[in-house]
Amino acid sequence: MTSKPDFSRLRVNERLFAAGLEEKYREAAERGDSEALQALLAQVDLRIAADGTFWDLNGNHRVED
Amino acid sequence: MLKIENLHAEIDGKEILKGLSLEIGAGEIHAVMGPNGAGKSTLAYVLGGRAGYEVTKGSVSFAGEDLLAMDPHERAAAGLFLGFQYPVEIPGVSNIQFLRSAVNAQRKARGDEELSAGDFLKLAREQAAALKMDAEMLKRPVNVGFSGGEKKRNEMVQMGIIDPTLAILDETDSGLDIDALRTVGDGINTIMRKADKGVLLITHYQRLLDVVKPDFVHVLAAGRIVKTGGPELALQLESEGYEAIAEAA
Repeated sequence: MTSKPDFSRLRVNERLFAAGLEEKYREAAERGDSEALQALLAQVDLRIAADGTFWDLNGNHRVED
Repeated sequence: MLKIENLHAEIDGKEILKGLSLEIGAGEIHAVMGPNGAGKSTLAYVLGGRAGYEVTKGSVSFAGEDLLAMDPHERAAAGLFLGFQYPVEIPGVSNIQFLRSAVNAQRKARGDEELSAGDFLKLAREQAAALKMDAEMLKRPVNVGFSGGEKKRNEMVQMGIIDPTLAILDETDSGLDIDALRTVGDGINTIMRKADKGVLLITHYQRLLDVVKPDFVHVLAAGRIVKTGGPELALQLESEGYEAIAEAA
């Protein structure tokens, strides 16, 4: 296997699973640590922009809600 | 469809799976039952391709391909779906938007035509209705504010939309009340009880198997399948417990 999956083909939960980050995500959520949550999501090619919208880093496109 | 041979797997140097073998044919539903710590979730994780688990021995083929050589996204595109025991909540991330992206990325990888926004929404509404879930919930951020049962129902709706070849469902029955259990079980039957599909149902309890009738039941203990039988084996486990059956095997 290569080191980084193509997250775009995965459901959001699957992205965290594939990266082995669900437990860390769950722990950060329980702490209410939004910085840690954002850092973890960034590892699966998701990030929150300053205006609160989400971006998919794979195609670098904005995800409309 | 899925052939697991002498699978050994470890995490952090600790061996969890110790020579597990199992074969799932097309059209079959297999239940894997076992006590805590037997390796049930590890089996699901290894098949799904979770980071951190190392396969030290054995092989897994899926539709004739080496599953262990595939990345998680390749496994998903090949038709493997993993239903999570504890789907996480992700505020701000639109469930349906990412689901559409994932479905279309998988279709593209298989050489199928991508679904238009209209076709995707129609499909999503149909699947939500089949699972008695308000389709509006799909527009909400991933699992945010959902009860345990709603999260599992949401997993099954996503399974219906993705329409996988093989579903690995890791304790899908946990956190479900009686009504939700029946709805989810009926959903599994409707979506996956087909001649060209297979299901690996990981569960602690018989109750889900009252709704989703397995063709085979396997007892997993200490990292190996120690006994295989028909649906009657689940009833025997319920009445006698895992320990007695694992020791007798």
